[in-house]
Amino acid sequence: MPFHDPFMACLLVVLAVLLCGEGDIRVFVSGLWRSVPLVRWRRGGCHMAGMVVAMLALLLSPHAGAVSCLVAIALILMGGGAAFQPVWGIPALIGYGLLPAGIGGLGLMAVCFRAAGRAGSDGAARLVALLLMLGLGHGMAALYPLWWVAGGAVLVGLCLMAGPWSDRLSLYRYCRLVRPVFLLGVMEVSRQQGMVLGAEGAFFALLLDLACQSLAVIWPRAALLMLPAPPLPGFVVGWVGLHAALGLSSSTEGWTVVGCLLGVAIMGLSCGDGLVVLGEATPPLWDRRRQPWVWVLLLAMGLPSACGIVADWLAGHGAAWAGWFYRLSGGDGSMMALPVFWAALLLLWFCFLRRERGNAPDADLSLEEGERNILDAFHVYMQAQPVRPRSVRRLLMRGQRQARSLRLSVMELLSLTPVQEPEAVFWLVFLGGVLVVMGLAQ
Amino acid sequence: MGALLGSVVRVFLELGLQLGVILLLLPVMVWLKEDVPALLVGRAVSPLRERYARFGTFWRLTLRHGLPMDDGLMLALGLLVLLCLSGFSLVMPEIGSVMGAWLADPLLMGGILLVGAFWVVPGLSRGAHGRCCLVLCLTECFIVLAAPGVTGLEGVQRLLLAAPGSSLAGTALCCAVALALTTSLPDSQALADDMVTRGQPAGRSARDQRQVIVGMYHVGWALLLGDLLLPVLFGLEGLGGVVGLMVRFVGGSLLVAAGRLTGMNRNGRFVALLLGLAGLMALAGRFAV
Repeated sequence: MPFHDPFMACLLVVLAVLLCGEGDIRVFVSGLWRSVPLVRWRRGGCHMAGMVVAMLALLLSPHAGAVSCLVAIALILMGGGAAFQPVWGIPALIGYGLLPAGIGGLGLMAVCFRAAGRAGSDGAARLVALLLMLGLGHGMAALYPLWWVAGGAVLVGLCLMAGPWSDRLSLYRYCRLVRPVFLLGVMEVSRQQGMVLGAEGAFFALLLDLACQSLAVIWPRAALLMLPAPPLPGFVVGWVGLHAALGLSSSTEGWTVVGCLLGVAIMGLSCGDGLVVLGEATPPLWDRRRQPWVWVLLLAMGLPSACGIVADWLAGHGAAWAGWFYRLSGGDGSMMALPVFWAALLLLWFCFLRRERGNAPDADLSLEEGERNILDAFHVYMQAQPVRPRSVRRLLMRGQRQARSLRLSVMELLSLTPVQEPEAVFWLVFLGGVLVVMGLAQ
Repeated sequence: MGALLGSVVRVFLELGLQLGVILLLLPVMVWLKEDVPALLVGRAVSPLRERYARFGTFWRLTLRHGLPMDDGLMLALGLLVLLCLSGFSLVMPEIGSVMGAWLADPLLMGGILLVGAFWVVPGLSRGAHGRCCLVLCLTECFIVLAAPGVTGLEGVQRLLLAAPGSSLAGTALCCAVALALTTSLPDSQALADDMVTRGQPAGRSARDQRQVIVGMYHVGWALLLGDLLLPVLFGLEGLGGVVGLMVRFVGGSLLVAAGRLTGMNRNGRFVALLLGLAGLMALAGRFAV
């Protein structure tokens, strides 16, 4: 297993970058010597503490019990405890503490999905939950990759069914969470099947994805990098993920159809992510200064190559780093000469640009009035309540009716017994069960 | 040092020659794509030299005054797509094969064309773009399934030459027809209406320029379809390559025209049937080996 621990190191580096650059934390630090709004200051402090605790959890990953406690603290600090409002959150975490490399990983995944779904528009909380899920669930993903992928899909489906579905945006935000999970699954399956190229490709895509997401949290304008439009890094993530999954499907037995489906799913999730980016597009995205756009262009050009070099170096093939400056390798032996494409594009673009310098601010990459109207309409569309298909609605109604009748019968049963508070009974029974399991395990 | 300089000069000569040939052929292609169907229906159209005059004006204005930021970006993207999809080489076959293998990826090129469509008419229905994107993804999947380990259209051509009559040709053909039926590039009439209703871009010459750029995107789309329809003609050398380019373009535009004439381009079930057929062929070819 060549890069198990370097993967953790990557996640730690992403967390550290997030800790250095996130907006609320900057407000918190500057609030130490000048006056800032108290609410933001407090939130920045909570974010800082939560990220430090999350880093501790990733560092202590062999000690599952301590880790589950730290994860709980981090999620509460980041999201204000919304992740543990349903009663199954804590048992799922304790399940992770008991079986960290086995089925308990699914419990952790469920908790993190829940926390990330509850985070709303708070990108940092979502990203920290995602990083915790990837780093701590990696043990399970390495042992049972198929269960990891299938569990991710099923859990997201359950989260979507049970969630309040207040607007479309919260629905599409799950795309950003599920894609890294699938990429990690593809990476582990490729490694199990002995395909070095596929594992490297999936790792590259995963790294690029995480880098883009953390950049988007730090600098809101960088969210444009995640659009799945071709020369941008968001497309590279989808393309490399698709090819890694297809390489899996074309060179191993038994993964032909599943690999194909995974590839299409990864690309489709990229497209959904693009919808989120367009729907979240905030007014600072279309201001008219030229300099930030130059930085965005430079990032879009250099980020895939940089991530590819890092991924190759971590996988132990650092000698071939020069190749990443003119081509990106997909997971199945296919290449894409995207940096060369960027160079030619910039050359042609500067040939065609308007010459006179007088009205430079008018000739900028900014949105016109009509396009802004269309984006506003799209914004309204994304804020609206999504339309559920009738079959899903019927299924949900049936499930709710079953749950209600179940709860009623349980209440009747409890009314026969001499207890007044069912929650206390639940926790007592649960504690007893945990003690029994631990006693059986020793 | 001298050898390096010579190879650099040859690379630039090759790229310049390719660009020149494409620029020379572009008015003919647009004429074939827009005017010839109208001529066959019986309407009066302007002759070919009118097209040449229009393109000449366009390039003169562009090179003298330049374009706005987004128009310039889109024109550069369109030209690059045409260059990558043209797939012929005149003096240095290595450059052609590198571009054909590393850049002429159906998903990449089709994605750029879709971005162009989204840029031209942002308010066009998202459903059409989504369907087209899905069909592109499936095309890429099936081609990789049918030909594992090949890169780009150049790899497809090599494999077809090495093993003629494989399932790859059938897969590519079905995908090309499905793509032709889900085209989401706006046609010139819809584009003109949209530009008038939005009032943007403001000037008439700017609108003309945008029409010409969108015409390039249409040519690129037809070329992509033609590459998938007749992959054996991709990547030829010398004058045969130019002839192959024209044949592929005519094949692709015939597909688009047939889809529009038969009114099949709203028929989702037919597209699904074609995609299923392509998937079956790809799987059959994979398990037959």
